[in-house]
Amino acid sequence: MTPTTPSGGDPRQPSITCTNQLLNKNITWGSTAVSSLFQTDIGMAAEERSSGGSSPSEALEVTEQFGSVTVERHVPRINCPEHIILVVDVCREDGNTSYKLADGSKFSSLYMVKRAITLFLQNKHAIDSRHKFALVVLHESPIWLHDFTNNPREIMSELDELEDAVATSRCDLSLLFDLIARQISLPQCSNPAVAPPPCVFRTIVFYGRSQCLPQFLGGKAVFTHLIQSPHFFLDVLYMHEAPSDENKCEGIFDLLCGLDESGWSYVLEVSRNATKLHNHCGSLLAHPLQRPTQKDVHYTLNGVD
Amino acid sequence: MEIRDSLIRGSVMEQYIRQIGYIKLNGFPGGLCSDLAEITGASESLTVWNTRQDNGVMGETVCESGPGDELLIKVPFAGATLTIRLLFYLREPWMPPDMSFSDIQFLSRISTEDLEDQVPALNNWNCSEDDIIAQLLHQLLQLYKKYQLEKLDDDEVLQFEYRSLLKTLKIGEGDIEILVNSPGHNTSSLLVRLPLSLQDVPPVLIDANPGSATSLLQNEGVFVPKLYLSPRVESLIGGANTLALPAVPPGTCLLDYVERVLELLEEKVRKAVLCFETRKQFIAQVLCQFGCAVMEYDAERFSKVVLMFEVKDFHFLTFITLGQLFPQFAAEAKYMAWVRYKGNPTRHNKYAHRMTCKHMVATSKWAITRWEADMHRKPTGVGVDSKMWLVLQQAPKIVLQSLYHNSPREPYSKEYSDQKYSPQWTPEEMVRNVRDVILSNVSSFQMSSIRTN
Repeated sequence: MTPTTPSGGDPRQPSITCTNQLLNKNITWGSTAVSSLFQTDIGMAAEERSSGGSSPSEALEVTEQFGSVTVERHVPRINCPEHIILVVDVCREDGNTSYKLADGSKFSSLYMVKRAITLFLQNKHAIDSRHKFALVVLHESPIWLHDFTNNPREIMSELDELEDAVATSRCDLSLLFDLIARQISLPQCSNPAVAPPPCVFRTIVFYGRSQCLPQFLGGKAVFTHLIQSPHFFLDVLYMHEAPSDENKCEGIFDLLCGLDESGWSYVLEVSRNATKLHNHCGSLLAHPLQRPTQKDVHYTLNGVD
Repeated sequence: MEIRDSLIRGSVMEQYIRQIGYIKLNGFPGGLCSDLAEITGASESLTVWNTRQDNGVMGETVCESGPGDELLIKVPFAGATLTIRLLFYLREPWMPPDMSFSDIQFLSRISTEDLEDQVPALNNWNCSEDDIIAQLLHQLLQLYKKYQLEKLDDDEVLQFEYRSLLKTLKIGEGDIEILVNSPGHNTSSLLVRLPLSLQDVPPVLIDANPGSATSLLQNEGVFVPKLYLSPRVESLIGGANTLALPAVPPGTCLLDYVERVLELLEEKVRKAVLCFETRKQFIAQVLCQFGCAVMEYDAERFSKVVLMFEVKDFHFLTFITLGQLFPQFAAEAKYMAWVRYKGNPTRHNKYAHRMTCKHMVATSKWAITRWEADMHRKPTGVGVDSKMWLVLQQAPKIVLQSLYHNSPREPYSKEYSDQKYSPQWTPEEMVRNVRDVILSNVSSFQMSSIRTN
């Protein structure tokens, strides 16, 4: 199993020393190259807004490269409000193990994910109080439990009420994305490469089963329609048992990775490590229009120049 | 016949409502403070005013006015309010409305020829035009202005000042309103729209506030200046009440004073733009050095960036916030926070003021330490240190926040001040210094976050 973890390595240093150049030219972040960080993205985006939608003189395509794969960013890097759909899997499988903390205390996986999501909500709200959250519970079929609100306490009180339930034999992702598609309306921008959207939608799926492969039993059409929008993002946090021959963790993880069709998703996994779970929720705080790709994240801070 | 009558009256009423709606939608026509104009249906009868106009003789004008037939329009003019009352004859919609003004002398001074020339709407009253009332009001206001300017002939000093303002500021007659010896007062007042250009200001700093950028300086009587700023300008440089207008020493010429105020505003605008550029450079530098750890940043005003860091397997959030007037004097920040609190004593403003006080204390201590260290250093080189560091400027605010612990309802967080901060540094140095502050405080932050939980 090759879990996708934040890449380690030495801190990356810019090759350009003059700050003013950074705003207009290519900036090197480690192995990535990002063109026009501010000048065209923000300046032109602001002009676009004020001039009522006139098209820019040059096309805006920001390219990030890692290895031989080129992932294109087609939206300006604006910290617009996010509408985050938290999808919580409440299924409890047979043989489900608990999280053990350093002091010996044990907590169920649902308790830990509730706690991690609580901190996520509080931190996300502290970053920008305009962000909104909705709650979906994933069991037999997905249920839209709470509509979008920017008051994290409303979601937290719903979360408190959640209880785990006996795992079902299947998980139909088509139902989940059908539900999401019905509840949201994606922004329509005439020129999404330049015009900043009024908001973006991000679905974060907290999937907790080690035996059940999630599948698109009703087809992928709705999912494909959602994912092709430059204003819809999907992240996954997979919480599983220790991988073994008796479970399907690896297969499930591969399948979840396959949901990342754009290259901009974060697909994270953790196995009963509370610290790592919280760290991953920290990674998920990043704004999808401004964060680096998952392979480029690098959080280590040291004093070396 | 009755039905036909009521149908006709109904359509007249609809047209009338549309005409009022036109003014409300498009704003009161003309006037420097037209956005503050008020239009309401009048409730008092017209006879009261007619009586005054007849110089005390009791008139017995019978008004068959119903609700909605009268309009009361209050227009700010040169710092005072001109009230215009219009009485419409909705049963005879082809008739122009009767008019009364709060400035009683106005109507008695203007001639019929003036009215015919300057207010053609009265003679060409086309009740089917949506903007006919707006046209009438505009023409009346222009006539009132002209009337005031004619009164200027009696006041040479004011006339001279008026002409100097026009010439020196290169503004048009539409940019000044004068009220000469306003009714009931013995003083004159003058309102001038300052030619403050926001052309070079990045649109994002003022876009949120619609409407033109207006700075108005009013001078009442013996030189009592007041400044009014439109929301667009206020969002850029602060409220008019936070800007200390220069004192007016005796003998000050109006033109000189107006020029000084204009310079003050232009300086504030330049400073706001410079602050914006500095913030932008700082954020760019943060992204350059820590782009792989970015969570979110303010991509419009560049006032905030949030990152996630890991030190010895301990992950935490870092909020770096730049004040709107960064880099800014700590003392100035404290004063402005105090003014805001006094004007609006909310909990938030109280908290903000307390934070600026704490920052002031910290920067004072820093300045004392720095001063003492400086005293010990022997002056070398070409000259003595310029002591620019003495200019206490506001450092970026650094807050570390926990990913693991609440305390009890919010994630545990702690603010760290940057004692070494210097406005002389390049953005690159500032960011490196922020990194050093974080690194030197992270383990104590980790300890206290665990303890609090």
